[in-house]
Amino acid sequence: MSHRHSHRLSRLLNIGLPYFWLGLFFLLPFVMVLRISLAEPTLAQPPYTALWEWVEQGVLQIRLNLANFQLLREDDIYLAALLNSLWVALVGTVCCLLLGYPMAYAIATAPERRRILLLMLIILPFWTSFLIRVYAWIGLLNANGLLNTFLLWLGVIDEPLKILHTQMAVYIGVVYSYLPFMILPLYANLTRLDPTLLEAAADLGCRPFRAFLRVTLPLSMPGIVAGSMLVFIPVVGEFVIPDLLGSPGSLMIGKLMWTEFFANKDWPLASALAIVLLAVLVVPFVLMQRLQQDDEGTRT
Amino acid sequence: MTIQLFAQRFLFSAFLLAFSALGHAEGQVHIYNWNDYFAEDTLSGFQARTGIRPVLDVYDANEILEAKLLAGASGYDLIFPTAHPFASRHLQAGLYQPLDKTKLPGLDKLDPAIMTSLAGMDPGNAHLVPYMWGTSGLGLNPDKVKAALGEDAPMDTWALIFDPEKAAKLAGCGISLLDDPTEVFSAALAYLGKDPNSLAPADLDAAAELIKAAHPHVRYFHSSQYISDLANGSLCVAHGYSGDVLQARERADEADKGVKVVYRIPREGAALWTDVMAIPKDAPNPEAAHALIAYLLDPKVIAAVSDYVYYANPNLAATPLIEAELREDPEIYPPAEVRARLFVPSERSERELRTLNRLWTRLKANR
Amino acid sequence: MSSLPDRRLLESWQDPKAAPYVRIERLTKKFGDVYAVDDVSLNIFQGEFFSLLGSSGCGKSTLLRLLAGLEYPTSGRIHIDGVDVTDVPPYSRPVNMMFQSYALFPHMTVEQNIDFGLRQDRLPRRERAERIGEMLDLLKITPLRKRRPDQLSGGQRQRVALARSLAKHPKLLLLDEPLGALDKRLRENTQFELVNLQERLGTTFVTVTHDQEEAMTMSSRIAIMEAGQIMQIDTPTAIYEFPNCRFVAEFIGSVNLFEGKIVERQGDQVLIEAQFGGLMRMRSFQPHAIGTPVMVAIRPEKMRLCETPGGDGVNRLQGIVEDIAYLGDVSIYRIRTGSGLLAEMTLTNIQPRTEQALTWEQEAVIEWSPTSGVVLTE
Repeated sequence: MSHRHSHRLSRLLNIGLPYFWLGLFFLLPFVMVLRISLAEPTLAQPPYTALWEWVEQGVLQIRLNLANFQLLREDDIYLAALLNSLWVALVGTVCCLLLGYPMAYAIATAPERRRILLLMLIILPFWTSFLIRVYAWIGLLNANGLLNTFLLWLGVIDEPLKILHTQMAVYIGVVYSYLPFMILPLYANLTRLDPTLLEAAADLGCRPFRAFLRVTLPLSMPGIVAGSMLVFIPVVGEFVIPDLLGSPGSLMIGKLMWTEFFANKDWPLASALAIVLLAVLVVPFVLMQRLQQDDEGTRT
Repeated sequence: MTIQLFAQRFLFSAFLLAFSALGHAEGQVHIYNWNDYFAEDTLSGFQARTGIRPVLDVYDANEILEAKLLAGASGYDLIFPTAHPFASRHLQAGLYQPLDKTKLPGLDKLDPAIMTSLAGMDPGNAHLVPYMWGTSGLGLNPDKVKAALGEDAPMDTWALIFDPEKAAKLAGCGISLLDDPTEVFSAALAYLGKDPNSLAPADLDAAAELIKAAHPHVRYFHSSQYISDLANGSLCVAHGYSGDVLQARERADEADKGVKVVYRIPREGAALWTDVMAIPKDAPNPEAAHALIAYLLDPKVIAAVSDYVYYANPNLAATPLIEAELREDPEIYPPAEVRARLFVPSERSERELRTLNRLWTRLKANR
Repeated sequence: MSSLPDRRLLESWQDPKAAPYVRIERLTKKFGDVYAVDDVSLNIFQGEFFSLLGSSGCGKSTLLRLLAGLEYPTSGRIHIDGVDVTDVPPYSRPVNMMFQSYALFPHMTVEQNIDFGLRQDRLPRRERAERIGEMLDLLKITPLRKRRPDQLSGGQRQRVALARSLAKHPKLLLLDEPLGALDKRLRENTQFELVNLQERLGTTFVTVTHDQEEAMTMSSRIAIMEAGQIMQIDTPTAIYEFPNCRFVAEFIGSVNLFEGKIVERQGDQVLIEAQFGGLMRMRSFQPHAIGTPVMVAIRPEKMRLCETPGGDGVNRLQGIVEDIAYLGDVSIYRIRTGSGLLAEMTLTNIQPRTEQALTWEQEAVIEWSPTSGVVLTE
């Protein structure tokens, strides 16, 4: 009896713990942000109004301020920033994929002993602060930075390339910073790939490149999706890279949020922006899951 | 078993940590200051004199300090906001506690002009003590400016940024602007000969047009990046804070690669800013905060800070103790006729400020 | 060499005029310092069901992979259908393989798996569809055609793998432990199906197996491999009845080995002085010199109880029944002789067990005929 009891308890824990975790670290903060997004800014501590108050005995007054969402809809700068952020994230993700896939593939197919070394080299930059690494790119991409000095010395160029404070620099920073997030899930996926599948493909008359397209690539799709998500989502909200490396005109949702939150002390509008961003990122997720479920459905 | 033991130990050490964190009420003062805004021995001197242990956190933007204050329970005893518009706003929000002036005997040595100006937002100077003051003007690389505009090009003018003809010539060697709409708009208004604090729509429109025209020649908008870029020669005109530009000069001298940096207060006028000390309402240890303010009112102590940070301080008794090079630099301690051209940013309502900030975002994005 | 003399028709491997379909010449494959395949020469003929039999690590799988082109030899040549394919990559060889793990593509349906090879050949859509239908029919898996591998049982997967490897109508099919992943019951049924299929299609099969029963049941010929070398190539019967060495004799089934020395040759028979004391007379076509140390290998079921003691005492052993293993259809008796030798004899249980003559601790004399075993020198 007691055995069964403890079994049930552990099952409850197994199921309950993730939900508890999600509730505590996702749902609760989300509700808090949602709450703030429906308030009005005010000069106080905290700098937003309460949503409800007891006006007199037994009367609860609830004020929901939708003006923030309205402003986001009316002022096209937010839409422009959102689209630009999505575009930057898309380009960054595609670059990470194009660069990261061959790297992950090379590591996954390297001899076992060398794999650990190569993985270490991928992870090693994480031991330095992200901020410092992004700052380092300023030194590299500067008009009189290492890259330009080197190219001038080589004689490839006559005058320094203007890379820093351009969109190009943002892409460089994004790809550099997020490449490991693409490589690691891809690597994990590719190492699990059964090499006899490629032998089977070859045996059935398939040349190596076609075998890659028809076997390796489709089977690494989960890794591609995981890596792309890990890159795309944080890059949409990225603040540091466009701020330090980007052009003065670069309009990113993360920078806008910073302005609203810090410079304008408009926490409600910043929260509304965060909610909209979340919605924009969650919708494709849900759609994808639907598609996958449909796929399962047709199979069984 | 072992996991349980580990958990117990973990909890135990967590308790220890929590208690040590609570222990600060006794003899610690938690300071939140700009980075690099004390002399190297300021805090160690304070601990030697009072026995109170200083704990320093730093920030690099008023906004960060403000966000922490507004969120509440920041845990800091003494903070160093800029008077306009930050400290004034915090006063309106009631975030500071009044000072116990009996504990601050050095107050009478402070520059009455600055005190009077501060009293405008802080009646009776009840909450704020000025710490340092300076101007926002132009950091220049004279060699490069001359190379672009000719030997006899004037340096002390906003025209370097707002005259499209000049700016176009200087764009190649690099122009930067502060990422702060108040600063940039008042500079533009000053260049136009208007009241730098004007809120008149026509004036703001004119300023916005001016900034738009300058935009293509601006390499970036940033409030600290220009320090290192001036020092290594990758900028020739930077809209910046006096002390920061002088820091860049110091770095350029140290690097000794022939990069020259100068600071100029534009003849059209420049913003004068004051950083103040204040004690948050919920400070855990206001006693210790008072002791630290009193220590910083010591002319010798504050003179050493000025020597280190290249900013003027409002303590008149300290002026003679400051290194002559600094004291006699007209860009740091400007003569009366220059000071007359400086202006103090005026108060703006929250709504006005937000409108300005959003306009700023739009301007920067060139939309 | 040792072949059944009374066959009427010559099998292809006995016909000196027949050209081998697969010709392996002095093939060697080294992994580092290890010889996985060591100087192997071998001919396989059209329509054969050829098995490579050996324990794990004997090199049989490597030999198969060399045929498929998945490994390249260190030295030696491989000819298939008269063409030297030694350096031809796997995707250009006229060979298909069924992998031990089946290696089905998990992201494709059964149909798509079968179609995979056909698409590589750029066959027209109609023809591909026909071929797929034919394969689905042949292996009776038509109802499964829309499923993915993870929705199939082990036996179903085996059929799909077979269908996929047969879809291109290869002349030569390589099968790596084709039944290895099936449970015993399924394996026995599938053995016969595989043979039927092979006979129907006429495809040359080369399989690798470690299961001697499987090899015996299915193969036209078997090559016994050990340490990278082929010990004997022959029909299952010949391998069983006429092993050419001690290793093969012991590897297949159980065997009694009696050591001795040739003392006399009498026509096609030799007289051997056995180490256990008596004399043995065995048929042997080999030209042994007098005095050669030899081993006489006799299968336990070739032994019988001696009912007429006396005579010359040749091919006879006397001992005590030490152990009886009752297997239902047969019983295995272990008889210990006075000199300590242990001999094994299998008797069919014609009578119910309770009425059998031989019990534990009983004195018994067993004997065998001169044609019931072979004389081995190594």
